[in-house]
Amino acid sequence: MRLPKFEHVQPSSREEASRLLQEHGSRARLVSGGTDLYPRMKYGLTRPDVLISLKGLPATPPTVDPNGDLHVDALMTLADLARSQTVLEKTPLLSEAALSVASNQIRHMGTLGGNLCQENRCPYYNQTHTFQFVEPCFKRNGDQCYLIPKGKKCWAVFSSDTAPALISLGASATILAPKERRQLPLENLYTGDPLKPLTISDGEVLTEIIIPCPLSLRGTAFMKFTLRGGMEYAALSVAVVLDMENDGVLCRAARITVGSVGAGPIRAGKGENAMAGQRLSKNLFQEVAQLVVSETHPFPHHGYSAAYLRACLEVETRRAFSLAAEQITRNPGDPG
Amino acid sequence: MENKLDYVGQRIPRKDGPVKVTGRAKYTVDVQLPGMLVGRILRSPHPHAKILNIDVSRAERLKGVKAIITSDDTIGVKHAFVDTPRYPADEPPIAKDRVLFVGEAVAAVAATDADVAEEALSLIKVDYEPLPAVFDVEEAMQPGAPEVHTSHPKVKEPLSNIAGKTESGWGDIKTGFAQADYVREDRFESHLRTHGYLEPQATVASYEPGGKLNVLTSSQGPFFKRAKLAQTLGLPFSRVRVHKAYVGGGFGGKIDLFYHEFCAALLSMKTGRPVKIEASREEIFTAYRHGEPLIIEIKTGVKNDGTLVAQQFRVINKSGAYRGTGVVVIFLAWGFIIGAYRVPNFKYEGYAVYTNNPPRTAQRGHGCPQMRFAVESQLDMIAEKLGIDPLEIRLKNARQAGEILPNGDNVYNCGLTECIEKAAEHTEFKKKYGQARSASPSMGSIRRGIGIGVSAYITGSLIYPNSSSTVIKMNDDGTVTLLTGALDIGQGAETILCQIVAEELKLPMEDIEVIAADTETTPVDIGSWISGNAFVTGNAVRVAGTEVREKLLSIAAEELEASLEDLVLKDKCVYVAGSPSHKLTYQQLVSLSIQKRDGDPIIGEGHWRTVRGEPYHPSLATTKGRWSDSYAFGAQVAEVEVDIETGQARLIRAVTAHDCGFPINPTLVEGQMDGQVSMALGHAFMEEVLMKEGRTLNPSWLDYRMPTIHNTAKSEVIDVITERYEIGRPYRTKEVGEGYVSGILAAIANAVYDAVGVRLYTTPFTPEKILQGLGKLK
Repeated sequence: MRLPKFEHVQPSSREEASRLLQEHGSRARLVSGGTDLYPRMKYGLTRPDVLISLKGLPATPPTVDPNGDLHVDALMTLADLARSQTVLEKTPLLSEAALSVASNQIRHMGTLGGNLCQENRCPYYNQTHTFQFVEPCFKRNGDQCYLIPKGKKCWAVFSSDTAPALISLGASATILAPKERRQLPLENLYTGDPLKPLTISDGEVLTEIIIPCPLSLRGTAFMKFTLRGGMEYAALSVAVVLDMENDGVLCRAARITVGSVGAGPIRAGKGENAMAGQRLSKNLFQEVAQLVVSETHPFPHHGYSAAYLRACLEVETRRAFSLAAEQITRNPGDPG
Repeated sequence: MENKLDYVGQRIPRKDGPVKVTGRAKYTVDVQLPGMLVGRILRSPHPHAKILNIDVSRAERLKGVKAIITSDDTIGVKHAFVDTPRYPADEPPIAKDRVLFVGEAVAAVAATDADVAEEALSLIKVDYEPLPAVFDVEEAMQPGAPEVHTSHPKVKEPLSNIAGKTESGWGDIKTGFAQADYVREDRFESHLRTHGYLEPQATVASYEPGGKLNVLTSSQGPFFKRAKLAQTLGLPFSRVRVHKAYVGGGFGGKIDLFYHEFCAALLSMKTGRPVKIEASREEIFTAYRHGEPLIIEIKTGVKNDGTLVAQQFRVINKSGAYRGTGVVVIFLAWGFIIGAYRVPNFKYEGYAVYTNNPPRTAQRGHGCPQMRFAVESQLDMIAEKLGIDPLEIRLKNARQAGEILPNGDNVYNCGLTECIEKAAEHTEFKKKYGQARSASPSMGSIRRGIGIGVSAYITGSLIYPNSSSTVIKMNDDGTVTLLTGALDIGQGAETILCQIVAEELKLPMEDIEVIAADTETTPVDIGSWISGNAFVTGNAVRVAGTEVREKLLSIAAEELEASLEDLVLKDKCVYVAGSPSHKLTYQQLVSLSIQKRDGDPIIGEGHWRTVRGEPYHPSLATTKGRWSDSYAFGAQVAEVEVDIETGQARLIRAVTAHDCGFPINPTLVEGQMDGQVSMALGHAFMEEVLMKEGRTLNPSWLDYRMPTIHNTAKSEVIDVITERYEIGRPYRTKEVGEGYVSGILAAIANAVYDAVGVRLYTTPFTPEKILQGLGKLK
């Protein structure tokens, strides 16, 4: 449980970080708060020779552009994000998701970018392998899964809390490469492959998240189910955004993203379609929640069975809909 | 003599508070000695395997490696928590020829730093031949199961892997069940939990050239460690000195001799340099000892009015690869049944069964939470069947003051009935009980429930050497120094012992210096386990204090020309009553004593032990023999909220009505209660060491979910005082640190049932089990 030796490089800009990343290739890792990376290094799950630290770079406070879109620096700590008045006003969903991560101390270290780019987790994988589970599993470049006997694939789950919230908000990510800067819908950051969860490659740095301004009346809700309510990854999470027609009764469009029960965040497209154009009602919420469960196929993980996660996801999704609907009723004139 | 108490019974701040909260207390890991090496342990990756060969040559050549030890370097003496003719020690201090669990020590390295030590481990090549292993305890019992150890020769049943058996009974069980109007049989099962001590295990051993081994180790008592180290290292007791170390929690998990302790000592002997070994938290989760899960089968017969007439138990302890405390818990499990209720016809069988899991050990309550959960759950089921309320059935069967238990123990001023009544009254139990089950769906998804659980717990037990000896010496300036072998592991031992000294001598707390828990300079004490500290060590201190007081008074009487009855102790002086100027200070009295009592600077000695007058401890095999001097009783009420949609339950209120004798320090008593409530709620809802084939799946605080401050419940304490402290007289205070983790667990289970009608037969009470019980899991 000791941090192995590594070279620590402190670039003076994101651009330099990107250059350094490319230069060192797979020998290097980007680090900011280190709350995901350092424990993994202590476990011997990753052994970078070089750490390129973004820690010294100042994070730009959240801004709203002329279109009303919210720009959030990926280097913001989760604590700063959770208490930013701008974020709270524009996207309370993101504030809530950020506040639900781990503990106060970790939120002060961990950044939004780190939370979005965290590695997938599994109880068999996230430990040292000196005398327990020594034979490598899929995620340690082996050919077995300890979790599902004779399993043909890796079952490690992606547990970011902010990712489902941002995907439901339709956020896009700015990726900085040495020669270009590109935008991609945040959901495209995720491969759905637990062995390589992110689509970005060597030399690329996630620098910013842009959350589009809602076009109409909106209700949002984030649910994170845990056993002890803090200092814990989610058993499951669900982020719901309901955009309403101006009458405040018909749902114009819905975005539903489920977290922690799959290899990446899961958009519940069928559920979203079933919600669009409908009048909000308890029955609708129940039907759509069931649909969300049916299209999500939760992975069993960390002691939770798939059957339980299905049952719980249905309840939490339905509750998220009700909370989002309550928000709409409470603030009928406020398109936030 | 006047019995106005100034210190005992007062809310006096902890003696060790300032040094701990200011960070000045040195724990074992803080210790740095010149030339100190770092030790690391190589552990078995197999749950069961033959060791064919160990090649340390590459590791030895690594720069910075100073010593490597394997079983070849040991004297081949086994050790164990229990080491008796019936249960001889079965654990090698380092595995020899065969490994029996994942994490068993195979070799250890001492090197100049931790990186080198860890690299050296990776260079040691061990050839294993894997053997069939068994992890499920009931599979392990089957004839033909992989053999971890030969079944105990005295157990004649055709069962495998039996580490030990306890049998007990009285009355006539057949007649008892024949008399019953209602008989029911249930099976309960508990799960694996860890202790959760925040200070990881650590040892610094330093072998001096003269042949003396000095050891600092995070433990629950130095004398037990000294005995085991001396035995396994082949050193005379007097050549091993275990020093006092501050301890960041033990809860039963730091009693046994551990690999890191033995290896640090042997590595230091080999190198002649101090060696420190710290266990990582992950090692503690994966290779150290957790608590003891039990399978409990109960058959109970009652009359229609709820009177218990017969009870039969079959208990199986899911032991690990060595006996550990496995044969103790099957004895204790019996004991934790007998204290609370009268059962005229009784039969008990307990088995400890080897598996290829890591060995287990005592954990706060040592079987009591598991047993009370089972007994109290079944009692509620019986009450419901008979249409009696949970209070009535308990009151009907509760032991009363002066009853003699089947083993000959006396419950003396048992306050159980009063505890039940007060806990019920305080919580309006009768009004609330059964309300949730008739609740309408319009209440939303939350159901509230209330439940009660009862416990009786020993006040120290007669396990050799459950004794304590203390010395109080007066200093020239009239202050005193207390020498005690007792170790304060956070429960406040030093504080309450000083309160007793302060009371006997009417001396401010700050004038008492404590020298504690050092095998060389302090007299023997069993240590802070088995729930006897306040009673056993406390009485030893009181005896020593009495001797000092009597010496002070005797000289004062002579000098002041007053009779003993007229003298009063106050403010470090002895006065003649009614004549405050007619006095001698303690300082003067010390000086006079030296002058007139042949140099005696005033020293008092005190000794105490459990069940005085009984020569032997009770039989682990038959339970025969006296067990404890007195029992603490308690009734605990839990109120829970259960979400019937997610199955999630939480404890919102815990009320403990306790008969702990009397509180020497009420704040510390309440601290024990609060701690036990939060431990029990972790037990009930969150904590579980998840294992697969002998390997641990959640070896971190992140994935092993101990409650945080946000999960703790409101904990209320009601005193039922049944004993008193009288200056200069033996007292019978009762235990307070273990029993109350038990009744509340049972109360929580019963409250969950009250809330949602789901009877839980296994711990923990996960959302999944509750939803399953509600029929909501597809």
